[in-house]
Amino acid sequence: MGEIKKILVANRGEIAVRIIRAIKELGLTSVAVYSEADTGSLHVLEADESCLIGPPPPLQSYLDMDRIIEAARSCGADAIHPGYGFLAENPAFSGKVRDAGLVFIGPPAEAIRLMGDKLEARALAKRAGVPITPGSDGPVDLEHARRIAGDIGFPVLIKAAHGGGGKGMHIVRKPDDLQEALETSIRESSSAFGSSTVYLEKYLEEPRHIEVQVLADSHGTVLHLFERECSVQRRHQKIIEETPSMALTPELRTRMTEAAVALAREAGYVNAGTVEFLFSKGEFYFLEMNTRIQVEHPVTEMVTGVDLVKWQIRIARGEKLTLKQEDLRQQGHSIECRVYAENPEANFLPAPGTLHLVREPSGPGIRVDSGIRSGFTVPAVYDPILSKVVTWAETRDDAIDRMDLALKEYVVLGTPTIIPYLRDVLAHEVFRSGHYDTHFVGDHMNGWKNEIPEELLLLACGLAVEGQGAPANGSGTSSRASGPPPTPWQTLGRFRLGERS
Amino acid sequence: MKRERFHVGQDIWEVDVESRENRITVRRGEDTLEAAISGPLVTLNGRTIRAAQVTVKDHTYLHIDGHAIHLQRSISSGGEDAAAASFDGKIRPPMPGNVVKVLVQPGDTVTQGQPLIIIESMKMEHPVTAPVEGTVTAVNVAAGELAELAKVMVEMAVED
Repeated sequence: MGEIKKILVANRGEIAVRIIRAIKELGLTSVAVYSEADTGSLHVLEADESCLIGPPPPLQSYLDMDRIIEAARSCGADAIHPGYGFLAENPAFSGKVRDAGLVFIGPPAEAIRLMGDKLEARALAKRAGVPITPGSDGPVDLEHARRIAGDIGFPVLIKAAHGGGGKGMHIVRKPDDLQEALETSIRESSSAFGSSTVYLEKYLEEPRHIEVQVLADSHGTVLHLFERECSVQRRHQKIIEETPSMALTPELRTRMTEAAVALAREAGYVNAGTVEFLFSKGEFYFLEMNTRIQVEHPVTEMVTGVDLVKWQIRIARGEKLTLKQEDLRQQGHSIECRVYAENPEANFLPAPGTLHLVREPSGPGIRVDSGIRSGFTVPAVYDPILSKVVTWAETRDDAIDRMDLALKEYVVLGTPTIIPYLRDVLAHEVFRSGHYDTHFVGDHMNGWKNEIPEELLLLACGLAVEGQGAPANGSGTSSRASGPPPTPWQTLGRFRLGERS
Repeated sequence: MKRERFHVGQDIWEVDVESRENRITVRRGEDTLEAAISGPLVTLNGRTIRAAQVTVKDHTYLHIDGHAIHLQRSISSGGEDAAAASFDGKIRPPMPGNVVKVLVQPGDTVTQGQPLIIIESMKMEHPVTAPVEGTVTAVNVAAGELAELAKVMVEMAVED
């Protein structure tokens, strides 16, 4: 492992900004890559250097392995951090990075490949003594599926061995539906993942999604940094995460974290990773291992005080973990809300567009990992995540109250966001109680409407009319974007953009 | 006094606004609202709340007491059917994306809300629907093409 002085961040948005900050704090040089859609993006402005890698479509920019490695070579970077998504869990990419003589900040290619194959990962978990859901040990055909489903009982789940994000996954509640679900799953898996391998496992009722953060160095030390509860999801995507989980007793926590460490050891894992479990009726089952930094890593950082991204870099340059398991504690409670540019009233329809005004909340225990700024246009071609608001407090109730205030004060104007939806989840008695599962959004938030008091709408009309009489402010979007955010004093009733006189 | 019409969600609101020094009065039908404004602070019924706003052409975006509100100034004279009155016969994409499917051809009669084009944006498919009943007169895009915001994808004639 060579010396690392300059790191290229092969990602965009809030995670690229987060990684760039860690690189700078370590006294190293950061390089951003960007597509033509991200010319003025925050990660480009934050980085020490930047490099244009192609047109907006991901395949021609953030997913173009050769282009990114070429960019690293031409700017003299010695390492690449992939972030999450895009190329983060592509074993071919980490292989190519290493073949090019660069350091890949992440696990060995073999660990990525192994965990990308759900069936191999299940087999590995079994060897490590980690509980897995009852189901098939290998690929299934119809006869095989009928026999196993008969043994473990309905409902069952058919899943794509190389799948993810809920694609190719089908719940089967009775034997008559098995054939059709199997055929559909094979078809979807073939077109989405280029693999027709599917398998079958028991479908768990009232499941909670709980995961364990691990850190492993290249000297044989494997640590866990406790759990994250991620059961508030829409479309199989998390929107709110917290730690500690309200579902775990100290005894269950010990068993789950030990299982995660055993699995990481068995896989020969190095760097930061996350072992995901499904938790149902007092038992937990291995789901998959994510071989990257996760979106929701900040909640773990808040309660443990450990900087996971800095450790990723230190581990990649061969350093030993100086943390000791017995010194690690979960102190207080932390929650993360993901802020997406989506319209929750219209089935979370993505809402790309220009953000005319952005003002972040701040205060004790509030952290915002953001990829946006005033004047930024959210591109249509990428994931619509804008930022993550993270709060920490001594107790869960305090952390939720602090989050609600932070979201209330978070000004994002120009496109719809899920902020009002998140606030209503926080206020829901089932979420407040801590006893919720992955069906929470479907069970309790269906038909959600953004209720704005009529008097505020009337006031809004009044303020909008009053604003019209004011002279156009000549400062335009660009100067406002690069300077400090305008104060409400400046913007109230006085600000007009895009106006031609 | 100023009179103005705004699209508020699905409705159109007609409001009368009067301002004297730092006080404004807003009337809509039977409803009257009075507020005192002091910089970013608005006092309403004895309660002081925060407000910020930005106006871009006909759109005003406000953040009042934690609520993000989007108002669009209504330019139509305002008939019974606001959608028909303000519709110029041209269908543009609601967001930039890729055209996945074209569902209509010139000469087709379509009903309000009928999907015309499917576009893909941010890895999801979205139908672009007819805002009013009418006849398709032109289709200017094909599957696989880029749907840019200003692009007129479908043209329609509206029946009287």
